[in-house]
Order: sequence, then structure tokens, then C-alpha cells
Amino acid sequence: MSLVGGITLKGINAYKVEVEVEVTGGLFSISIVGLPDAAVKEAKERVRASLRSLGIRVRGRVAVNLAPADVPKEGALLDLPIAVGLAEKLGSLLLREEALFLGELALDGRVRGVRGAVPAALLARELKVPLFVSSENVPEVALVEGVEAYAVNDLQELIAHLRGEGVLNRVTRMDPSELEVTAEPDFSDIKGQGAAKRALEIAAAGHHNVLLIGSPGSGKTMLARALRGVLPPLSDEELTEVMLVRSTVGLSFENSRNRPFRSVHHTSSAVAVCGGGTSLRPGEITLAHRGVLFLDEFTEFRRDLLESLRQPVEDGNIVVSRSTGSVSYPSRVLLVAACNPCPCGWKGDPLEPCRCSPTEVERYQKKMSGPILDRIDLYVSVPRLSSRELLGLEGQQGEKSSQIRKRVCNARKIQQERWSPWGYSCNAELPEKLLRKEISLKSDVRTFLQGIASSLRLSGRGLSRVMRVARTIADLEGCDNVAVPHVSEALAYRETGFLS
Amino acid sequence: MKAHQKALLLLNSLECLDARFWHFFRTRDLEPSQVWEDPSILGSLGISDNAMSHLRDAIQCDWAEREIDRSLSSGITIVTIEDDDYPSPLKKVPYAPLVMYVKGQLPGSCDLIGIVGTRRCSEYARRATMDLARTIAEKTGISVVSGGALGVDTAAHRGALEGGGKTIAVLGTGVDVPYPGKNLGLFRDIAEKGALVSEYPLETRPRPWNFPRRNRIIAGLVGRLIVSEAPLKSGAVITARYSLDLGREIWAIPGRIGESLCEGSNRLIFDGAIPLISLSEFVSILAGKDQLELFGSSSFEGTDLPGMELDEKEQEVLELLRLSGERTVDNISLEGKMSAAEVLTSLGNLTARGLVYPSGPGRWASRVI
Ligand SMILES: [Zn+2]
Repeated sequence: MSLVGGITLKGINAYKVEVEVEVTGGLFSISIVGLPDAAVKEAKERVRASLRSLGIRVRGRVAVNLAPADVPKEGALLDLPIAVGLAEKLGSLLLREEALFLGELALDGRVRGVRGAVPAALLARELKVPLFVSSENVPEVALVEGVEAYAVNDLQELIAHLRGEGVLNRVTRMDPSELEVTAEPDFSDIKGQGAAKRALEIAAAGHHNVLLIGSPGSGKTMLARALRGVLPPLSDEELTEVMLVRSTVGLSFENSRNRPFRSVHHTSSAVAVCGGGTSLRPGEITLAHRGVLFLDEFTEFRRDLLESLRQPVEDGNIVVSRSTGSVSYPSRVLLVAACNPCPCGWKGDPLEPCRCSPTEVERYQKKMSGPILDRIDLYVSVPRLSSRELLGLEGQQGEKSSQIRKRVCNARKIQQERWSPWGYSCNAELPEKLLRKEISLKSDVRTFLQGIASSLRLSGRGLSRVMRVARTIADLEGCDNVAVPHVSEALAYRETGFLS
Repeated sequence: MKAHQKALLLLNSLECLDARFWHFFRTRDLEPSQVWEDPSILGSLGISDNAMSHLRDAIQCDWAEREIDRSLSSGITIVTIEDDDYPSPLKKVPYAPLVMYVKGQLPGSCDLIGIVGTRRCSEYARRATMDLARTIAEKTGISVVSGGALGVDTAAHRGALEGGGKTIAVLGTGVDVPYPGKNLGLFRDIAEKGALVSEYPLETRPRPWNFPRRNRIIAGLVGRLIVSEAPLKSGAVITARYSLDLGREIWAIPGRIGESLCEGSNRLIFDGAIPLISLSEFVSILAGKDQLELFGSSSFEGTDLPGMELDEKEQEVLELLRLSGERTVDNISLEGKMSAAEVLTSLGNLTARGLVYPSGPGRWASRVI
């Protein structure tokens, strides 16, 4: 009996699967047991054909057992270990040490890349065993430090290596220090929009969720896309997390420290957004982990979809349940929502008349106070600049994203140092109680806050939101104490009055 | 129940008769009781068969008595054209309604000012109307009359209440039918600090033809009418035309040319309405007092925030907005040579003081006063 290591995925984690192969006499047949899905069952055709391409004939009754028996196995990840086990059983090679094999076989013996290479590499590192993966997976595996991985082009090459007749290329680790942020578009590519840019800088600095409100053509989407260019670069640890998620759905490595940007359409299914489904995939919110989740046409989203986003946005992870148990995916995202000011989109526009009736506008605005909006700290209204206004901005050179990013990184560092005793890393994460207790306010700021709270009829939550944002503005300036101007500026990002 | 009250209630329930019919009826030396005792006589006064059968049904089922009982139990007063407390300016109007249902208290003084405009008004008009009504209430104590609809009407009522004044909403439904439903809370406040009035019997649902009729009552009640913002085809313009016929004083808030939203109000100015170009000036005229006496010199500093004066930048931003109307942050930072953050800091502070407001996506404007 032959025993070879393979993996299966549960959530974003790889689990070891022991592939046992037994061959007995009789007519040819292959049976696979141990909760294989359809794709695993198809492995028998691919394995037999690719072995035949190397001149290895498979005869007799082949039994493949995948252990542990109670864990479902999915996809074509197990082609390679099954083929290796069979080859060993047939006397073509002898495995001298424990190893993990990962790859899908083509009929001619080529080894194709599969999803899950990063989790597999992490598992191999943990088990201190070598990993054999398709060369197509090398860029992502190269990111994992301290793993002994070998790049495999085809089955022949692998068998030669295992026989000691040839040597596979060992994957060299890529030095992540060379990676940079290359996100597009750059803030300096966007004409004007000083207010929105400033608000996004604050959002990036304190990890505050944002709602962009503006008429069609005001450039909300472009601004949202530009946000990731001012966010701090992914740290090495975050880079691995992001790659881990991308790897589990088979997305390739981006070769930068860009934070993910994922856009969700309001017609998307709950499975596409939150994850799950029969083949259990992470949703867009997980693909946006450590980056930006953009909800365009926010008011068109179904209420239940928004409800299902609330918990993951708050907790930073999402639990997807299915019959065989539940799986947890990470979902720490910066939420950027965008919407029109009214159903026709032109309310408050100086040129286009709004065609909505008051009742339509009212109904629309009810949607804007729906679920998840209480998680939004910054409301930014984006003007649609007229051609005359744009002309006036001609020749004005805006700040580059990289310059803004520097300020953001400094502000983040300050927050991390301040909140680490409580286990938080940024102002947006802070619970309301702690926020009120720990933000030191001089007496003039206190009176100012009291004054505005009553004149603007701020609710308790509204006041906390102002304080939270003011704290971030002060951090951007490197001030220890929140001062009146910081609070004043925070007031400019409240729910916009023209919508009332 | 007095005879004339029952007679007028019954006639009013036909929803097509007004003061002219009643005068006609009286000049024939008919007794009010004949309305229900011998209704056939009304046929000879030109009332259609259809209306006659409606009237007979109402008499049959003691509708008038029950209407009065229902009014009493829900705190609604019924004022007929024969009663002393019927608003005197309205009484002189030929088409005055026979009966007014009043929920709340009609103000003692008959010096009333009407403010009307479109339901789908701009943020500018909403703010201007609100400020206008509040200042009128604060400085003159004159009650504001409007139609209880969304938009300008709501701003007028709310402003008057905020200024501590009384306000009257003339409804196109029964006074016990809150329409639009969104204004339920507003109607409750008005009933407490003013009055909801209507010529329509209790439980009358909103029907499109009710509202133009309601406009005549507003025109008849008020001595002055202000049209805030109104497109050409709008109830506000109809009200203004009625007011013009009655020889009332008409004011209109000027709007930008080329915008359909204020085409009606601008057209009224062209036709002779007085343009309302300064709130404090208007209110001074209203109160017959000097502006300085009324407002003092510090009236332009907005809400006082303890220990805080406007700093240089805030003052500059405010001046820019007062000078040039609506602006984006980009415009202001270019003109004032400030960073976006500085502009936003000033705008945030000025908003908190109520001196500035967001007038559209990404645009800011200074308050009217
Ligand atoms: Zn609209």
C-alpha cells in the first residue's frame, strides 16, 4: 500500500489528505472513496491517461482511499498525489520522505496550477515537509517564507526527481521588500474634488467607512478606486493573508503591495458577496479582505444583502455554514458605498433639474438610512463639476497619492501605538465607550462639542462619530489632543443636510 | 344646534356651494330650516338633481347631527359663515366656504401672511422659506398660513413654529385626515400651536380637485402672500392669481433665470409681484419698525457657540459664499488660497453655527439671513 500526502481546502485553510493507493488483480477499474466530489472522481481518467503518456500502464483494480474519511475533498487538487501513489505502487518510484503534492493533471502529463497553493505552502511549512506544485503556482508560493517547494512542469519530471534521476527547480523566495504600491488611478489624475480627496485621506488614515453621494458623472467610482492608492501598503503579514485568499479562489498574485479593491453590484447574489455555495468559495467581502469593498448604487441593494454584510464588516470575519460544518473567512474591509442624491440623480445639481416627486425622494432617503449605514463615519458629497468649473481648475496640480499615503501611514502608526494596550489598531475600530473615555478633550473643545451637539441636535451616536473622525484628523496632523478645528472639520462630513 | 349651522353644514357637504349661494338663499327670505324641512325648494335655486339626492340622503341619516358630534368628540370646532369667529378677511371673499372645520385655535388677529411654493423645492428655497417664516414669527408675531404640503409649505409651517409663532395649515382633506402622512407630526404640532383648517367634511380623502379649491382659501385668508419658489404650472401660482384678484399684496422670492423650478415665481415678479430681496428689510416693513431696532447689529453672527469668535478663515469663507452664492470646496480653496482641509474646517464650523448649509452634492451656500 502506498501513502502520499495531498491537501484539501476548508475555508482558507489547507488540511492534509493522506492518499492511499491499493492495486489488486483483476479487470481494470479505479474507485475513489473518502468523500470525493465530482471533480475528484474525474481524477481517474486524467491520472490514467497521464501515466500512460509516460509509458506506465495501469492494470488491475485500483482502490484510492482519501483519509480522513469524514472531510469532503474537492477539485482537481488531488490528481498529483493519486498519480504519484499509483506510480509508486506500480514500482515506478519509491518515496523516501513524506511530502505534499498539489496539482491537476492534463491528459499529456502536464501539471496545471490549482487554487490553494498558498494554504498548501503554509501547511507544508508547518509540517516541515517539501511541497511539489505546478510551476504555474510558483509566483504565489514564492511569497511564503521558509517553505521547501519544488516547481513541477509535468509528471515525467516529477517522477524523475523522485527517482533521483533528475532535479526539480527549488522555488526561491521572492523578496517582498521590493514590492510597492502601484495602484491606479493616482489622486493627482483626478481634477478638483478637493473635498472628496481630503475625506478619503481621513477615511484611509482612520479606517473609516465612507458614503459618497453625488450625481451621475461626478466621479464617485474613480475616487473610490483611487482610495487604495492612499491606503498604507500591505505589510508582509497582510500580503500573505491577501494572497492566501486569492489563492483559494485561484486568482494570481498581483506583484505589488496594493490593497485589494473589489466592487460589488447590487444584483449580486448573497453567495457571491458573502461566500458559500456548493463548492464553498469565499465571497467578494473576503476577496476585499485588507482592502476596499465598493458598493456602487448602494440604495439599489436589497435589504437582506446589506443585513448580511453588517456582521462581517463589524467583526472582520464571516462564518459561512453548510451541511458539512461551518467555515470562517476573513473580511476586514474598508467599506466605500456610493449613491445618487435621489432616484433621478440630479437633486441639488445646478444645471440638470431633478424630476423626482417629494415622495420618491423621501422613499429613496429611507433607503439611505438602512442597515449598515450606522457603520459609516464619513459622508462625502461629490459635486458634478461644470465645464466652466473644470476650466477654472486647469493648471492646478493636485497632490500625488504617494504623498498623501505618507501622512496616512504616520497617522496609522500613531493610532497603533495609542490603542495597542486595548488591542485596537485604528480609530474606526474603537468601541464607543472607550472612545468617549480615552479621547482627552481640553475644556474649550468640550464646550464647543456641547454647543454643537445642541445646536445641530446631534444624537449620541452622531457625536461619537464626530469625535472619532476628529481624532483621526488630529492624528493626521500629529496632534496629541483634539482641538476645535479638528472637530469643525469633522462636522463637514456629517449626513448631508441637502438630503433632508 | 342652531338652524343656520345645520343648514350650512348640509349645503357645504355638497362641496360645490359657497358664500354666493348662501347670499342668494338669504335674499330669497328663506329660513335656514327649510334646507332640511323642505329641500325641494333648493331645486328651484338651481341645485342639480344629483346633489339633491345626496342632500336627501344626508338629511335622512341625520348626517349633520352626527358630524357635529364627531367634531366635538375629537376637539374640532365648526365655524360657519354666519358665525362671529369666522375669519373676517375671508368672509368678504365672494367664494368664501360656507363652513370651516378648525382643529386647534385660529389666531385672534386677522393679520395673516401666506407663504406658498412647490412641493419639490430646491434646498435653497427650503432654507430661505424656513428662515423667512421663523423671522416673521420671531420679529412680528404674525401668523403664517400655508397648505400643509411637502416642500415649501412644510418649511413655512416649521419655520413659524421654530420662531415661536402660530401657523395655520389649510388642508385639502378633512382636518382629521393627515395628508401627506409624512407630516403627521407637523400637523400635531400645528394643531397645538395654531390651527388646521379645512372646508371639507371630516374623513374627506385627498382628491386632486380638492387642492386648487384649498388655494382660494389661503388667498382669501391672508393680507400678504409670499411665493417662495414655484414652477409655472403650480398651486402656488394659482394661489397668487386668486390673491391678485382679491387685491392682496404679493411678494415673490427671486430665483435663478432659466430654472424651471422658479419660473412661476419669477414670472409673478415680472407681472408685478414685489421681489423679496432682503429678509430683514421685508420683516421691517411688515413690523413697521427700523431694521436696526428689530435685528440689532450683531444679527449676522449666527448661533453663538460659547467663547468662539469666527476666525479669519471662517470669515473669509463666509464672505466668499455671501458674495457669490453656491460654491464647491474647489472654488473656495482656489479663490481663498486655502487647502481643502482648511476650507472644510471653516465650512464645518460655519454649518454648526447655522451660517452655511450644504445646498447640493458638494456645494455650499450661505444662509439667507
Ligand atoms: Zn431626482
